[in-house]
Amino acid sequence: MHEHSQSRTVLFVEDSNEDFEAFRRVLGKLQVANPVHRCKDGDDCLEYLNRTGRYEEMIDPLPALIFLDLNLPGTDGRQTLRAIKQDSRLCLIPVNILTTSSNPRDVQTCYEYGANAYTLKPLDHKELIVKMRIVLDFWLGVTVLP
Amino acid sequence: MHHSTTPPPPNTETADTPADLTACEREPIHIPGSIQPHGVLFALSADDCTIRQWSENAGRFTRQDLSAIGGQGVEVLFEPPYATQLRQMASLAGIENNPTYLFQARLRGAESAPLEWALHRANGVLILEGEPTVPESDREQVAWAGLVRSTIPRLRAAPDLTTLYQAATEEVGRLTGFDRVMVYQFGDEGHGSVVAEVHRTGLEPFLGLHYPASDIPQQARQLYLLNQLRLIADVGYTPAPMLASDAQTTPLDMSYCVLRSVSPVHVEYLKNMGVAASMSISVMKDDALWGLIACHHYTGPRYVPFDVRSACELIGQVVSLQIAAKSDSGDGVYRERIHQVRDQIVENMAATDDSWAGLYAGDVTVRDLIECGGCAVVRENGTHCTRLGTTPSEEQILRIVSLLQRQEHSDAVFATDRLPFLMDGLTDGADEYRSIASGLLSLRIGRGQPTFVLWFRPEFLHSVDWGGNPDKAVTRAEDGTHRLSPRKSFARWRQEVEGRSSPWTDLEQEAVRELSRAILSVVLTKAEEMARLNTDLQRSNTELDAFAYVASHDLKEPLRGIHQYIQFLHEDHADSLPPDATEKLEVLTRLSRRMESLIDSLLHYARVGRLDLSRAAVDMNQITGECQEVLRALLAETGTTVRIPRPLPSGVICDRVQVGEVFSNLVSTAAKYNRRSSGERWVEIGYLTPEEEGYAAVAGEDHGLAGPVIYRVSDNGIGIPARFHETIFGIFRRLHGRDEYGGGTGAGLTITKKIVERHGGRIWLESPPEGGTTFYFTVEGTGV
Repeated sequence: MHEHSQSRTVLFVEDSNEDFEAFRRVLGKLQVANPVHRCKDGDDCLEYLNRTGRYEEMIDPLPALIFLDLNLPGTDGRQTLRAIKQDSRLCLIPVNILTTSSNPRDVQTCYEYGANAYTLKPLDHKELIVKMRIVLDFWLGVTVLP
Repeated sequence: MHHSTTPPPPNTETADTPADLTACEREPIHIPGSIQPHGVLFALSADDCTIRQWSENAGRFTRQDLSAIGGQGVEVLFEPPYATQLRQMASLAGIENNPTYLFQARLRGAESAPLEWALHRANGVLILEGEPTVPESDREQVAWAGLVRSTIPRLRAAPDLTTLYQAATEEVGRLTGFDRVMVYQFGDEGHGSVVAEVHRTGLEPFLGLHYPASDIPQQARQLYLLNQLRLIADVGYTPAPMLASDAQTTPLDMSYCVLRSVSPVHVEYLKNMGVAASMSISVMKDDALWGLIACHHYTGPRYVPFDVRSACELIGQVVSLQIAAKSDSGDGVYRERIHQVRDQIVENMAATDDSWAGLYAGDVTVRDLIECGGCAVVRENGTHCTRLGTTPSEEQILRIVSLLQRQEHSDAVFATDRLPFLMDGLTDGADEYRSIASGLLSLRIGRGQPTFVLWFRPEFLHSVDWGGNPDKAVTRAEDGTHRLSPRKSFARWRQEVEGRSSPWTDLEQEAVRELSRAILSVVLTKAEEMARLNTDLQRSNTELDAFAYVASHDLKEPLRGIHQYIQFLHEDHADSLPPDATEKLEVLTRLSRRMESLIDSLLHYARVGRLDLSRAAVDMNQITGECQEVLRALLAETGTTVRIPRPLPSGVICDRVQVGEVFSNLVSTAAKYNRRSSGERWVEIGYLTPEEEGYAAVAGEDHGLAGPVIYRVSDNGIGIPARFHETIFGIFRRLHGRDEYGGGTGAGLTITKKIVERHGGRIWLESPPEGGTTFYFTVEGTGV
């Protein structure tokens, strides 16, 4: 992995503690060195990205990559995605939808809104590891991020 | 009508001779040139009251020689005070066409009882009529006070027309002492019927009898309009001719004369029926002759004095006024009944699932709406015909309806009182039923497959009792004392009204229109209700799909937590767990996986219902090709061959992805549920078009040539017992253990069915006991 990429924060927007625990385990297994920040819902995510609310004092750079769940309490993933992609500064950050929804309408909507990738959360942990390895390799290893 | 026993029409001056009917109609009965001899008549110049004409019998009332009275003043007739009074009255305007009581006086030189004199002016001539007074003992005194206080109030208080007619006959009978008094009403086309009657005991009643219009010729009716009361005091009279000094004198117009001599034909007619004296009073409605109060006397002459006649005229006028007032209210009663029946029918229709049945199935039906002999309701292109009351046969009704349908009249209501003549195609068959259906009132409701309501009316000839029925006249011809030829007028009239019914009134036609409007509003309301129910159903289906989708989605979240944590537990503590605990964790993992696939199926199913169909022309060969590609692994694994004996249709309008799923669901089901060894299993995809033999047998219902193409997927697998042919499409229905035949959630056929139904098609199967199953489905249905 690139030196540059390893220092950048990866943002997870995930309301489910169990799912986030699963991701943390995956990241540990895959030895991802990047700092990880978790937002519990869409509003939290937008405050984090805009450095408002409880993030006002924060001076960290913006995350290099966002994993976004769709079904979130309050401002849900679709609205959050839209807000990010309509912001001239935030829209540069790749957003990888990570959801259980295989609904074709969700897939279409998300790409319309400017999602950079749409990935399904598998049920099985081993499958999750396999999938996440590819996804993380791609974003943090293969691609050049803004 | 010239025979003695035929029930008579009222006093009419018939000009009906068997020899020449038209000549009779031309007979100038208002200028007879003679008078009834019980009185005396003088015609005076309106200018100077000089005598111009006098009746020949004038000499009978005085010993004075009247041979040279022509041109002399009235003073030659009366003593000066009377003559002066006469001259005074002669100049009054009020006597124009209006015989007015003058005085009681003897003619000069007379020794007999004084005469009652009346004077009127007509056509510029003064007419002086004298009649003998009737002895006090032989007459009812007209108590004018009584007439005003009891008779007229009685007529006015009559609650309905029948009571009114009866009261009028009784009052006239009491005043005049006639043996028989009748109210005779003219029908719509001039024929008439006796609607009320009083008569001396022992006489044959005429009540209810009908008479052809021609019994009362047109010029008689015209006369009755002018002269409200006619009297023939002694039918056996010898007319007294009118004399004039000047031979050039024009015949006297006696339209208003009570002494006017009547047509000898009419007199003969009266004689034939044994009438000795008769009187008739005109009854008017809306300036037209409505009918008559007709009086007959059989026991001798009947002299009706001036005051009694005046009272009778007054009664006639009161009756006229009351008829005008009451027939509107009579219509009102009918209208009220129509409204009640209509409301009841509409209520029936609204309350019944099968709305149209409300027309004929309830206690109150369309037959009760208007006066008719019978009624028929024809529905659904004549496949459904309900008859009420007396109607033609179903076959005949359907012929009428098909003729009605061919007629290009745009009006939904069609009325005729001459059905047999009007519809050419019916004239032959109509003879069979014209006695019950000469009149037709029809209502067409709706356009595509209209419902017809038909009301039938019997032929007029068959619906009433006819006075002087010619069939009876023949037997009475044995009598021989009179000219007893059958009534030609009746025969002619009979030809005129054959195949005709009494006409449908405006009120009745309007009633039918109102019914139509009310029905349409019921039907519309029902259609709206149906549309609303459909919308509700659609919405609730959509909501159910949405619910299934959201619920299953939400169920997945905790499920994945459970699944992952089992794995975390396994991962983190594999070393410290006893072997049986590890085994149990594996079972938990497997169960949570199964639960996930169930939820996925549910999601999929819900999505099929939620997704819009994207219809396009699709080549079924391409779809089935792709389907085999998708299922390649399964087909290879199970050793199943897919056969397609002939190319499938192309250009089929459907959603290619979803119909592809139908094929792959059916093919994979076929491949899985087969016990044959690998290599012997086959699945065959084929189709049937409506033109092909065996289509109807497969379709199970008659589509004709308009049916959809039927696709089939057959196999040589284990077959499906008939009792499962419906339930197999239920969601998560499995007929076998979940690990047998390759597992699966049991949603495949449910989803398949849903896709087919969303395409407006249907799916069904055949599976003979010896095994093998064929699924049939269509995708081009009607209602999408």
